[in-house]
Amino acid sequence: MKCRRAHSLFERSFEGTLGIEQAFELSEHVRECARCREVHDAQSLLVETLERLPEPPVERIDVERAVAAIHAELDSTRRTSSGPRAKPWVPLAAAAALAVTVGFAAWLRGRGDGGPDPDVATTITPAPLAPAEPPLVIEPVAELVPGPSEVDLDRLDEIRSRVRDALRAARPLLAESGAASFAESVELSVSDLKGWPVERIVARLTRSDDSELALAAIRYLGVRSSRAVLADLERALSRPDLERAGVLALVDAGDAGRAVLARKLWSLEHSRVAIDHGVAHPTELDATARAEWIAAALAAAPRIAEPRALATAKRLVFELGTCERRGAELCFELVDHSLVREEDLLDALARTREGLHVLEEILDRPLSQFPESFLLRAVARLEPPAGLAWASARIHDRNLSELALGAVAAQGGEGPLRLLLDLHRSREVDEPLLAGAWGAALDRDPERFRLLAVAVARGDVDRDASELLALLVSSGKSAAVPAILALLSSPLVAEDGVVLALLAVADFGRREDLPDLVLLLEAVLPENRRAAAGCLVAIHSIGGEDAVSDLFAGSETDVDRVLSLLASLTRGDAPSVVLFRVAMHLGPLLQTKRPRRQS
Amino acid sequence: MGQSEPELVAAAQGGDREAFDELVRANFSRVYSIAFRLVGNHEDAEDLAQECFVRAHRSLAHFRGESSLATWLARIVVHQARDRRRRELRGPELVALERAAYRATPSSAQPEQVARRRELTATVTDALSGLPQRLRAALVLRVIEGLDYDEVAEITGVRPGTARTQVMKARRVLLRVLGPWLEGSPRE
Repeated sequence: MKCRRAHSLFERSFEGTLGIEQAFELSEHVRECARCREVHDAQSLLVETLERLPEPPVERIDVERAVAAIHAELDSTRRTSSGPRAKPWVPLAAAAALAVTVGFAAWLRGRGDGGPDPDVATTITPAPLAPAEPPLVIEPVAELVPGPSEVDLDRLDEIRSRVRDALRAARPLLAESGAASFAESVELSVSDLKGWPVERIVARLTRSDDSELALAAIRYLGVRSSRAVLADLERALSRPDLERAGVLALVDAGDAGRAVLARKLWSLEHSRVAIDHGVAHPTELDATARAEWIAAALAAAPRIAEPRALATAKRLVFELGTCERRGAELCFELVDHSLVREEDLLDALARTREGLHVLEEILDRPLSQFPESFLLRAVARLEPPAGLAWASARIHDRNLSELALGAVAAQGGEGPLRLLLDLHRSREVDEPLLAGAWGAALDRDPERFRLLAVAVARGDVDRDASELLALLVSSGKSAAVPAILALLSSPLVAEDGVVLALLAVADFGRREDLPDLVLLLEAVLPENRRAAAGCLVAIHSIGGEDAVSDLFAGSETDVDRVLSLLASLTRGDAPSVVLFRVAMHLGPLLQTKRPRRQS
Repeated sequence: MGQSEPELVAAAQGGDREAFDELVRANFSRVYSIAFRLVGNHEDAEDLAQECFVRAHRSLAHFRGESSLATWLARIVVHQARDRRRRELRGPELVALERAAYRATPSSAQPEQVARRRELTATVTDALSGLPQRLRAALVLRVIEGLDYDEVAEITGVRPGTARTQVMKARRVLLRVLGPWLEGSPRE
């Protein structure tokens, strides 16, 4: 074993991945070679020392104190984030609403006409307040509820009936002219009811068992309502027959309605409708508003492992990609929140010029900020010249060389392959890194290697065929075989290279390579016996005896032909190692054939 | 409590504070250990571990259970250590490496093997703290935490092959810095 080989095995030795024979060989070499022994001992001492570094002082941890500190941090963040939402007028509004409610109830009791109408009484009681959004319900109640002197309860049934009729009558307009026309029509029909709590009556109708009526009520509220009835619209989302209408009404309700939708999006059957009508198509929203809505929806996302939620998340990120600069920035921010798959974010970024620009900015930031896999995928999405330019500018930076080479490998087309070939020739890059990039490029798209090999074999591309062949062979990858075989038919490849390449093909070729090997054998047999021997070794190594037998199928004297071929190879100038391997492969074949022929 | 980890995670995702606390208690020391290996001192490691759980709490709703909770937490803490390092000047890395290299010059005035080994440990620790963060994280997770390459890759966000290369590179850098010391040091 040579010292260089020994050094290359040290790593695997420490990883425990050496085969028994290699481990034995290595230990023999290390015993005999003082220099390698020194290096080996130094490395193993380092590994030992690392493995035996003192344990972290876990005894100094006070877990309960840590738990308390974590909660303190969480609580302080909550306070900070909820701070700006606090509004000084909320307690006053709440007090006013309560006073009105109590006063109205007392007035109803004082009338002595059998008590309040249950419908109206429930509608004027403020809905339970959501802790995060106290002003939503309270504030408008005061303006909606008419003063006691304006209300004539005897007419309530009649008014409810008028409202119902107005909604039913205008209902066809929803489909024909849109929600705004529909709402206008309803409003015209009830314009003489000023002073009556029409909106609350409509809100009450959103709970009707009559789906059509409830739907019309919901859509009306969406267009005309104040924020007071958002709770009613939100409640409609929980009814399967009304969910779609609720979604549309919330879209119509403007920013506040959209905010509710963003929060509820993940539980909606009609999330697609919400996105379509909420942010995908509306013309009244600018890109920034759309982007913010999507970000709000993503921030409210629960676990998104289940398929429907995942599809929603994907759709959102897709839309984010269309939201110009702000969308691109938010994509960028989302990376850090593990909200959605990086893959989807990168796809979204790649959708617009701004997104691509942000990608370029991401790539210009300090690299440790992002996982390498993310950067590689990001570069892969840059348009080829930009991606390749990004990578080639960093190849000679020692710290970035590996990443840059990985990025080159991730680029499509032949450009990266030519660059890798040039780097190989210049020998300016670490060989193992280059080999890694070469292998990764092969894994990504082997067909372009075959196409490049064909072009080089024909002399259409100014690259050294033997050098390309050597790189392909040294990859040790099955995916490289079609490209190797394409090169072997070229007169530009040196004869020695052909034989060695065929021996490599014998090692890692696959059955699907057999037809090309047979064609190559036929092409080289008369002229180049060394190559023919290599072909035979490869064919037998990959396809076994059957594959070699097939070569001579139909011949009565197949064994004779094999023998004659062997004899001609022996007479020729095939290297002894090739002949040895031919004999190793074909010997058993001859032994099995001869008795059958004798019988 | 007697609840399994997935049950605790589900409860914590539903807002159960006690369940989250249980998860912290069960995982804090491991997260702290990784943090300690990455930042090299108790105070920063404890801070980092706490930050890790604060962030985990905020993102718990998005924990999909595709990896184990331990791996997920490790990923967060590695990421945070990387962020923290990024915020710092690049100087300390170089200083640490230079200091390690300086200490790595074997001293003939200290022949005692035990003392030399102790010093070797300190020198390796120094050198470790001077490694670039991504190499350091890979080395810590693989060699010290004993994870396999797939796990290291999942935590550090690279492919397993890259994780392997990073560990190799980290070893090479350490060898380069510590070469003189290691070659003259005794084996146990």
